[in-house]
Amino acid sequence: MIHVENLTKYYDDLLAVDHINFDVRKGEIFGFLGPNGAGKTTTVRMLSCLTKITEGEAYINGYSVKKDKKMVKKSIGVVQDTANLYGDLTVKQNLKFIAELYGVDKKRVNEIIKEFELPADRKFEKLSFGFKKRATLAAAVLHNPPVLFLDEPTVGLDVRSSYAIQKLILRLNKEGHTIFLTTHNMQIAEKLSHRIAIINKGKIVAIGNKYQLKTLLKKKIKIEVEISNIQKQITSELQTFSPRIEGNKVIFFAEDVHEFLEQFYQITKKYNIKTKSINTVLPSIEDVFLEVTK
Amino acid sequence: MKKAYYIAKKDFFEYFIKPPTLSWGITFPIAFALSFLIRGKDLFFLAPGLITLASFFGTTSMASAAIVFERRMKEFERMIVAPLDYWEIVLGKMIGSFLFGMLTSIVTILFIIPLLGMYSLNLGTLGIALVLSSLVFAAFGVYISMMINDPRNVMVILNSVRFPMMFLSGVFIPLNTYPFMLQIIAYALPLTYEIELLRWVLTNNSFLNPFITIFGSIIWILLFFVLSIWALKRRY
Repeated sequence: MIHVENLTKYYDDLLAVDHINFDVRKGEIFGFLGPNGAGKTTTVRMLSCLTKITEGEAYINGYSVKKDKKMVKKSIGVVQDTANLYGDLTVKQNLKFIAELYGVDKKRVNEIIKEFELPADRKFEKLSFGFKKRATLAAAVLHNPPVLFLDEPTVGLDVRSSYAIQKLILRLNKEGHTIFLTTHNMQIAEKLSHRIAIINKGKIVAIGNKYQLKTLLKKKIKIEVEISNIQKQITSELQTFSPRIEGNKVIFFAEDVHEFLEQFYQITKKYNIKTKSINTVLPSIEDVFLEVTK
Repeated sequence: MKKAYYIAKKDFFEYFIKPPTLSWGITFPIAFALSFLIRGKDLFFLAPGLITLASFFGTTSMASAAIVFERRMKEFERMIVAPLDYWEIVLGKMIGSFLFGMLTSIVTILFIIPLLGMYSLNLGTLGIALVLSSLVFAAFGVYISMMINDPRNVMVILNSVRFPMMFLSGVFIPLNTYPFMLQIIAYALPLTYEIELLRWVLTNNSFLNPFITIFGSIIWILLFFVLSIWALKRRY
């Protein structure tokens, strides 16, 4: 559904996206992750005809983003990182305007208002942030596009609103929309995406489903240790196990648990550190992300 | 064409028929005209220039406010991701500003005509002059707003163009008294043609031939329209 070949973007001398290649299959939710400034938004903007492509080519629904812009625009719905509907218009006026731009029957406006449970006559600027996001999503699907680009759809939302948007994304996917999801939230990416690509410094550094991505970790076993007091020595002396402090726990990664435990036991004994608990857990996408974007 | 109308209609409800905008569209031209007319000198000479200036400042400010605000809030990109032709976006934005320019001009004229006793005006030619000047200024405002890279700078850029124009377009001093080089510069400014056209309609005493001013206005409209489309294409 989306085919990207050597896609490149320069802003003057700055290389923002560096010859990236990937495919998004019909009907999948494709998570697109990366640290700030990695090139996520630039990629989405190029694919949605908002930024010119410097080099390479991209095809959406079979149409060239460079040559068939109008057909590409008919095939996509875009939710940007800001809730960008018109503040002084009501939700209904906003959706009616979008429907007019896309040549969509106005009956669809009422349908979508019902479907997304939106307050039709409330001015957009008066809506809560959660409803603003929901209305923006409604505007993106009004013309029923096969592909949806969602750039940080849950950012800034409280847990309940974020959950509601996630449910909507899953529902839209079930209804047949292919979804290109850009997010900073690893849990959401892991939960919703069929496949994930990680971009770093303009390059795709990992791509695959969550199981494939986790095999990229050289040290595949994640060990969570809770100790009486976290001391410098425990992280410095066990540096080979990539320690990371998370609250009152220290996270380690190991290929061989026995080897880790042996060394860990010696250190705790040496510095008189009491161990409260040790657990081995499966690594998450967040762990993969931290590894590949080092 | 229909989609341009939808954009203009949206702008009309979103920006133009708001109490602050309307009061500005009415009070600004009146205050502006009064500040000159109160001295009572050369009123017949000044009136066409003042009416045109009120429309010039109102229309260009409104065009830029509507576009720049939308560009900053990324609302403008809604139209870019929609399957529209760029000329439809430019035309839609122009129509909205044009309507505001007409309002400003009409308010100023209604205020000035009784002051000067110009009751035997040809409404047809007056209408043509106002429509043409509002369209020129709307196209000019749209072009400047599309061209600038940082939307926050629009007023600085707009004013750095508008104020010199104000003094070089024959508002306060007759064009034929300008030194030759300044006359050449004046002919290269869109404001000159609109002032001269209205001067001909109101006082029948213009320096430029009215047909030249009408032709010049049409050229300016087309030029800024095409340049705005080019500026959009360059950006997206």
